[in-house]
Amino acid sequence: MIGLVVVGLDVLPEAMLIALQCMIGKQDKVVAVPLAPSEEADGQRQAILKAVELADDGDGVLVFVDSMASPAGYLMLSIMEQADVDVIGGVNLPMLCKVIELRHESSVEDLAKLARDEGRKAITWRTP
Amino acid sequence: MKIEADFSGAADKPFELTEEERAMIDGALSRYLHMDEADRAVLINDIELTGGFRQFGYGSLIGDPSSENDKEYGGVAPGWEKGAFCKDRHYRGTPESLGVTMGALPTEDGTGGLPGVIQEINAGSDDGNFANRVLKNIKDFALRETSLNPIYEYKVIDVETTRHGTVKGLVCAADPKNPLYLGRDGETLTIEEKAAIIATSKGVPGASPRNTGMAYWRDHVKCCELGGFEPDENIQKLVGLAEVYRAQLEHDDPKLFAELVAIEAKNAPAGAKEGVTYADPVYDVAMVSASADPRRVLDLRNGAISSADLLTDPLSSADIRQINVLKTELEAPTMH
Repeated sequence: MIGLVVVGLDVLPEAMLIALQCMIGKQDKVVAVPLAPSEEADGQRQAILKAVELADDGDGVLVFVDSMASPAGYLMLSIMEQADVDVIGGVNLPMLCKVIELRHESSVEDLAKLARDEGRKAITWRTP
Repeated sequence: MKIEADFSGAADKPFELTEEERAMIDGALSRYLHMDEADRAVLINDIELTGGFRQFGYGSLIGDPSSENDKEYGGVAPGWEKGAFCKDRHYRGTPESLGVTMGALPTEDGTGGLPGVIQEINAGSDDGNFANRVLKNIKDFALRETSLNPIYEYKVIDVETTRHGTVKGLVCAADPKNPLYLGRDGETLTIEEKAAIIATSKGVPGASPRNTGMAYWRDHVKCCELGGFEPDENIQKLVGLAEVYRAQLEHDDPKLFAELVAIEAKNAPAGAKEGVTYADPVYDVAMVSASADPRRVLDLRNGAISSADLLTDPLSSADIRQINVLKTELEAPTMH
């Protein structure tokens, strides 16, 4: 099973996982990493690496960040090779629901494509 | 050296553009990015050889791509460097008072490397609409980079990556022939003069979330630090000096200081400290202050304005009319 880590500013990662739990129940190997703006970058990197370790049961880990243009996105640039993880920017609930559903049967690469496509598809504009 | 496009081996290529698609992409690269024939040929050949189209970002493009892409990965362009090489008439300056922004140049001795991010779209994840997606990417890129601030020339350069080998990336390069070119430190302005402009400049209102020179360069240094890029000593020194001058500005011109800080505070996310977009700068201001020019920031700024003619918009009214024509074209929906 592919592990999932959500990294973002402040309460967003935890809030997202709480919302996810409300929708589809408690999930294993899903870890949130909240980043406080005042924290040192090295401490933040260590927190992310630890989360990847916790989420990994041997099949790999996919990391989601709030935005590639945020501290989370930039931090991942510096450690993605070391952590050996792929990163999806612009995390949203529909993409997380889809990857939870299919993470037992997909490769990390396929799951990353699926997450990106599902996330894009879910952003729609509805008018009255 | 003139490089001719060679499409004779198209049968061996994983992705083959039709004649019409090739002409469409070639035309867009020529019209919107003003790329020369050799670079256009290299890029189109690479699209067919790899089934991918790649841009290489080393500045704000890293976190803020101009277009949707399929994949991003880090890389280094050997023999290139970045710096405060260009004037800016929109994002970090205005036509009436130009600012200073980032550009890339080949290094003088051919060594070194420019770190950044490749943003790729590829035919593999596409449903037969790949050529149109390439066209959209080029148009989005041009709309952002050339439509208001035509400072760059567009080159195709080699970028070394860990997992994807050496790939070709489309890059914004500083153009010594462009009237908005500043060049390396000492070429037109000293590093101190550039820092004074950065400390005191602002862009056209609403043009960018990082709408002052200071906010843009602070963010760049911070993003590179977070991203684990090798620190660029010249840029660290430049931005550190600009911080010193910004602090001086509070005494030299309190009104301008308050105006700039207010712009930065308005654009800063919650939790950020005053004047800082989202995190503390990483350079040591105390360290660089020892090397700061003792003249006042406004003297330096005025010297820079005079040496680089920063109060004259180098674009003529005919240039601006032409830019507006292209902008209108670029903003029109793509119909294919």
